[in-house]
Amino acid sequence: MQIEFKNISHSVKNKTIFNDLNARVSSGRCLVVSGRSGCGKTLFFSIASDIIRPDSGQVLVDGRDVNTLNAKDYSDFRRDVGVVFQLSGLISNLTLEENLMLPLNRHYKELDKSEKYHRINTLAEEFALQHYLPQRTEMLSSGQASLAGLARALLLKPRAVIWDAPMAEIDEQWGEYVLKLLVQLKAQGTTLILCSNRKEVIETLADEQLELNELFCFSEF
Amino acid sequence: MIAYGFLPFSAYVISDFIFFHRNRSISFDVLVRQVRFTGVEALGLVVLIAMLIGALIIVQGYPLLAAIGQGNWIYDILISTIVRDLGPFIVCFIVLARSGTAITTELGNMVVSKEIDALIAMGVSPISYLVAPRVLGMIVSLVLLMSYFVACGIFGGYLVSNAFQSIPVSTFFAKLVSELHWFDIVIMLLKVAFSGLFISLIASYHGLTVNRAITEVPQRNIKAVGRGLISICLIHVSLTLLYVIITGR
Repeated sequence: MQIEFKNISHSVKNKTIFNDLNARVSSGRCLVVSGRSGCGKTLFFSIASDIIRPDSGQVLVDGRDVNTLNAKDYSDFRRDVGVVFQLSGLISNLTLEENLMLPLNRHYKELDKSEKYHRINTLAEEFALQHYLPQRTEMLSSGQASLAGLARALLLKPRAVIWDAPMAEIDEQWGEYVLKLLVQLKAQGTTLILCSNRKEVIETLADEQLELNELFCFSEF
Repeated sequence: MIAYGFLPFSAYVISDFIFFHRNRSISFDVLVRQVRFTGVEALGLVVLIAMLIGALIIVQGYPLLAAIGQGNWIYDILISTIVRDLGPFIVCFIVLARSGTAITTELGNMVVSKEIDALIAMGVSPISYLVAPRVLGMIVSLVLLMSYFVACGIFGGYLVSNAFQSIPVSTFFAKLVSELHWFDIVIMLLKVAFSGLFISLIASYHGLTVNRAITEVPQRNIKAVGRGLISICLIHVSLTLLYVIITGR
């Protein structure tokens, strides 16, 4: 999946955060967005994952403006793009299993229940979360919640993964495992957009880097 | 979180819950949870208040009516207070204070912890998943709670009326039913259904209009309770006027 940001401008409370920002990432490649705290990495993440629409400019997915997709194509876009939040974004009044079941029930209604449980159990085991499946997500540590957020994003076998502050909450051991997993996903053709300043993320994964500067944003390739 | 006003929001929610079956795979659990929280877990509180109010009406009213030789009016007074006017208002007020504030707080906290963003990112509409089932659940729950309230309020009245005058239970209920008009039930149901609709819409709207700070949640709650109370009063006064116009009583 190719994702392109074309002439993105956005202000927050009359403060210009992005001014005519351009970036592009092709299938199987990784764009790392970095910059000092407060320069707009999370805002970029929100725009990339279409949670916030920019004041002007376009986000093009495989050449099509996300803004103009019909309901069916937009639903496919949501299914194909896995989004991982810094604070996991797990639904707090649901168990971990219900959290993981939610996107499956939304996008694969027709899928057999046993197949849904199989997918959930496989991913939960991969991230050592199987014992937490029947528990509410507030029982998880922040690192486990991050891994659960990643598991939820990967459950739908996305063509692109957008992740805000990867590895921020994860310990070193799991960090290495997740890095390897991301390398593997990239090799399989998954597009990655990672908002991170971490050296190991940039060195291991970045094919393209977007350096955000405070007050005014520019892109460097 | 929501960039539009209350009326477009309400129209969106109502159009969504008309097609509730389309989102049943993800929304049904939320509906069940809302009915359990509002309609079942509040049972104890509603039963207690209903019995006390039923008893209070008899304690206050019966001696006065008996003194002027109109002891039979007690049935009419029980119907007008428990079934038609005071009862629905008290039940709606309990639900606003208990479940309305819970909805605003829960949705507000979900906005702050980015759970709403996560739902959007998964392609799950927060309106379909969080608001529409709550609205539907609130209406169903209020009808359930009102049924308990009527049953317990009248039973409380019956228990206390025995202290003044021993009446067989069958006679008491036969007299009560003979005074009850079907339009009393219709007005009661309309009052609780419309109140349930507005309490849940107002509570959800104020929860979802939290932006990013946790300190906004109590502020939104205060607004939701104030506006919810005004809407309940307007609905109840309008429907009571409608009742008076139609029945002439």
